[in-house]
Amino acid sequence: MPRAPRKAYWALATILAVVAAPPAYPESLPPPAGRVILTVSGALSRTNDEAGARFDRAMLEALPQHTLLTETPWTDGITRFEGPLARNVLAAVGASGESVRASAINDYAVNIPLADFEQYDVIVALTRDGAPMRVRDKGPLWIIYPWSDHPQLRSEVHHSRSIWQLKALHVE
Amino acid sequence: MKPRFIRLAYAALGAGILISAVGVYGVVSGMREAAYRAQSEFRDNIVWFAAQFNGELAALTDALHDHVTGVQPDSQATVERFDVFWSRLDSAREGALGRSFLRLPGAAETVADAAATLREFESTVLALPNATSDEVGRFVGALRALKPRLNELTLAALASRNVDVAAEHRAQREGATRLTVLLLGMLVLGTSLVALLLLERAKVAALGRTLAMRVAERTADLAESEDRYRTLVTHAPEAIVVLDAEQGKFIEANENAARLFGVSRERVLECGPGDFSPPLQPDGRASAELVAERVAAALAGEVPIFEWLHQNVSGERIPCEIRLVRLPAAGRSLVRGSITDISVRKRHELELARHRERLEELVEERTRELETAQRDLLRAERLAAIGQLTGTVSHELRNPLATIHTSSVVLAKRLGDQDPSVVRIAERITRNVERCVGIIQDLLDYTRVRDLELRRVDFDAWLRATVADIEVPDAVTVNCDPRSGARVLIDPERLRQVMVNLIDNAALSMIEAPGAEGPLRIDITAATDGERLRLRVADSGPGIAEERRESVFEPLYSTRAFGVGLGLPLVRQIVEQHGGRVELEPAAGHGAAFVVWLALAPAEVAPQTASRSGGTTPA
Repeated sequence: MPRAPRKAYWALATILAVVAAPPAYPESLPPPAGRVILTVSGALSRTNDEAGARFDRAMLEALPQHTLLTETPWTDGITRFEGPLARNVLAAVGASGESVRASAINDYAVNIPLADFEQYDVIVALTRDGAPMRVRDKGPLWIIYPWSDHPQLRSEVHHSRSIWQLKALHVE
Repeated sequence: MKPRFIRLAYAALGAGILISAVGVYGVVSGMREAAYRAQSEFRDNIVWFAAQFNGELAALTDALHDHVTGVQPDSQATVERFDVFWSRLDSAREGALGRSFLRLPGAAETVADAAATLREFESTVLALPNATSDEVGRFVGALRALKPRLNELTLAALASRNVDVAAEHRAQREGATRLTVLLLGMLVLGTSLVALLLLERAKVAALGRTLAMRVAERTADLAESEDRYRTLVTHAPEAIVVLDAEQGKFIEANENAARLFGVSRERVLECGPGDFSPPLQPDGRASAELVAERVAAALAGEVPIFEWLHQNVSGERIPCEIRLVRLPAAGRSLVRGSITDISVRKRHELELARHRERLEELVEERTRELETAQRDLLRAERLAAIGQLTGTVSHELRNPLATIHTSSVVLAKRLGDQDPSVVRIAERITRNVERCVGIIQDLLDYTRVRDLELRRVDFDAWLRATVADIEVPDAVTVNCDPRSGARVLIDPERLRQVMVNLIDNAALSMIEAPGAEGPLRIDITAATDGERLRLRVADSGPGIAEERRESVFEPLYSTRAFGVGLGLPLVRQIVEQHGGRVELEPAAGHGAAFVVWLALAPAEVAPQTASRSGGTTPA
């Protein structure tokens, strides 16, 4: 599981900041070079496969990274999660719809309204406390809500949307 | 004031009840919500957590089973299932949710056993697809053994949820009970508050009535007290004024004050102390200055009492005694003056002083009299002693002396023809015997006070005849020139003795004086002085020394070689027996002069007083 040097996405973040405009995505996503860890399907405008958009770790790390410091019901104390904003992942595939059905390696699935991603800085976490997450650590991907910044999110509904061991998103 | 307060209290009470109701509603709904949330979270998390546990275990078991049976085994998927179950076990040991799960009975042991199993067969799973079927089969067996335990956990979660719900209900009931108690308490509180308020209101009303009554009583008392005070002041025996020290004017004055100053009360109130005082007080100080001083002392808290000279409107000065005292008055400097007219007292004091002086004089006079009496007594005692002695001695001496006298006369007759010197000797004996007899006579005369045989005589004629009969030494000239023209009531024989003694005394004092030269004169004069006759016997001798003047009339006091010192005392005795007085004139140059004062004969008083110049009246 190669990990892009931190410098790279810092450079990317700098470029994005300079351009100060939504990233202009090419018509089609480049195909994944490594092992696919996330598959996005449904109403998409940009894909790289028949099934939809397939992402390896590097593709997700190439997106602007966001850091969240928060408590969760499943961890002790403040935990630092890093990863692309969920809305940016969906933007990268040109998703359009009302909600997304997220499913996990452990067969758990939950519907998330896209409004959640617009309203809050929800991330698709790639690392926990600076380390990539294995399946044993509820990885490789985990949808994290900013609970510490928004106490109103501390509800069972939002807890249930915080899906770990994420593997697929279906835009509806 | 009162109804507003009550309204306010009721409003506060209403607001309190409203707030309590809202609070109670909040508490109830909050409790319900909390109960609901606790319940739902428990269900959605713990029960669901247990279910997930079961599901994930089943998925792993199924995947492994594929490897055992060889029906489409997917090694990668199996490893994923293994990792998923591993992560589930981990999440039971981390976070609040995991801890809630572990509290289920037997959960900790089950989780620990499951973790041990996973660790035991981790190498087997990682070796897939090359792991032996036996090994995988053993793993499947171990996992299947965990399944009933996880089912139990799920059931326990459900059961504990029920327990929890029951506890929740109990808590709710307790909460409701507590709330009821709270409400009841508040109700009681509110009721008592209202009751208290009503009571207070009643009390305030009663208090108000009592207060009004007290005020009325006090007002009446005050009015009475003021009346009493006015009566006291108005009819006080002294003059009373109240002075406003800042304005320098009287603001109160009673009738006596007006009477004292001689003006109306209204007029007094237009004036100050200076208007009724002379410019200067008897001690010479300015009245204005003194007033300021005394008033300042009174304002400082002293009670000055002093004498003061007032001056009424007609200029009459009245000695007074004034007492000043500060009057309590907020913001004003008031001094009460109580003025007493002490002119009567002053007069009495003067009279008393005069009486005292007179009394002192009287005492002095009496003392003098007493001293004289004492002296007389002393003399009388002395005379009594002399008298006793001379009475005996003289009597015993007289007979022998008479014999000697007769014998010497006979001797002179018989031998005188033969020897003329015998006659001279006999005569000397006779003379001396006579002298002795004379002394004895003197002593007897002095000690035996005899009654006077008074006769009315023409004093001047009597004096001339008497003096002419008295023998004096040849060297002495007697010049008798009486011009009193008075008639007196005297014992001529006794008074003759006075003249003899005075002339003898004068003559002897001149002759015996050392170095006596020149003419030796005795001047005798007599004149009337008022109701008395003044007889003066003066000599030209050396006079009497100052220290001896006091004692010349004392008996047995003599400076002479002869005589027993009874001459002058006898003079005094006889003169005093006549009601007269004898004195020694104050020394003036040479000589001594004795003056005898005698009373004029009563019938002669009136005509004689007219001619007081004396000496011109013909005898």
